[in-house]
Amino acid sequence: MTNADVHALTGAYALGALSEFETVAVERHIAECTQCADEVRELLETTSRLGLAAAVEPPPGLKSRVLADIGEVRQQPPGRPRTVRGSSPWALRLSVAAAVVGIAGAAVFGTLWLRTPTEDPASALLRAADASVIQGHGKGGTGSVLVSKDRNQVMVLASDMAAPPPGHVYQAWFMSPNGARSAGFLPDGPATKVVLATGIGDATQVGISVEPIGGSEEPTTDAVMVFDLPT
Amino acid sequence: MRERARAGAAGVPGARSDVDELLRTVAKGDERAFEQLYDVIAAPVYGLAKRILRNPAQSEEVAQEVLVEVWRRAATFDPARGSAMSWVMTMAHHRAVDRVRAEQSAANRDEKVARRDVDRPFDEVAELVATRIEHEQVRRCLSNLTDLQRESILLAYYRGHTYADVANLLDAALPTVKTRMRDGLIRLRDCLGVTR
Repeated sequence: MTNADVHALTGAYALGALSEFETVAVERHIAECTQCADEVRELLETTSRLGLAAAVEPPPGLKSRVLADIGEVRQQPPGRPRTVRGSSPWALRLSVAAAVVGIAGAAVFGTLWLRTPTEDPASALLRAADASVIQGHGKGGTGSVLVSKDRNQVMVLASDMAAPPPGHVYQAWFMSPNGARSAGFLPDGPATKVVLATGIGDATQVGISVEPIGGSEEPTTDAVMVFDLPT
Repeated sequence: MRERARAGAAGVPGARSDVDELLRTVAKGDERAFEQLYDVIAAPVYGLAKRILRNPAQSEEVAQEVLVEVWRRAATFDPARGSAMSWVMTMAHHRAVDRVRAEQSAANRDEKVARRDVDRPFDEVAELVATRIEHEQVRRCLSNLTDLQRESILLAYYRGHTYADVANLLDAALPTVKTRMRDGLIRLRDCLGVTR
């Protein structure tokens, strides 16, 4: 996304109308552009007025519940990035992903990025300047791939997939006209599946196929999902 | 009109001075200050959640989460990045919209968007009960926008739609909706006399 593109998004940003991935792009941009930060601040004050105009007296029980809650919640010190209590980053990421996958891969990855407090390979990939999101197609479920050629990495995220047949697993592939290379296995279980893989090489697609446990040297069945990588 | 708008803005519940001040005190762990802050922000937080989510029980849950979050994160509020009220309302909006989008993904999304399409955004303006002068002002300023500006803004803000959804619902091009959201908000900002 160019700066002009990002700048045109300030209105949608202030309205909370961006995918989380675009939200990240705007936030990254305004961190470096004072003029844009000023505009965003004013537009957020403006949308807040829309919010104030919707004010409705809450049910009477709310106050006592909130006051009881805060008695048990420790306050965050100044200047810390926001984190969610009691969750390990990975557990959190997976639950967040499970909650929002299917909206758009962009939303998933953006949410992950926003809620990832520390730098790790996944968030580094999310921060890559050339990172882009690709939606998958196929009969096997829904999925997205975040790809950065600069980092030579992809992150595959899939959900709504049926359990593989007994004795089988889902295997991810880097696919090129010259053949396929394994990009790792999708974890078991009903939750959203995440695979981070390095080594895009000459791959033009990422695919997922059903393989016998232990995996295959190359795909032995048709891909259940395919992602076309940017050229 | 602009001058009147400014005069009206001074009466906004918790214009920046008092809410900012209260929040700074809350940041030091003052529960009594939080109670005062609650009295100012609870109705806007609950009302916005309810406008977006419709369901009263869910709205109350979201409001409770947001209000506790205000307590927890009070010390991270940075006045250089806007008013305390705007900080609170932005948080409330995010939470409510997160909830809407998570549900949309759980249900059949296309069907939901289609169903909500019937509910036209013009209703939103009528729903702004003009019991307070500043709400009347918001309503009047909204009526100064073009239809596309107004509908784009209201569908996004009060319904939690992404701009791509909005473009779809209004049968408009994506870049057009993006632009109308921005120039519509700028016009609204000037009409309301928002200076920061």
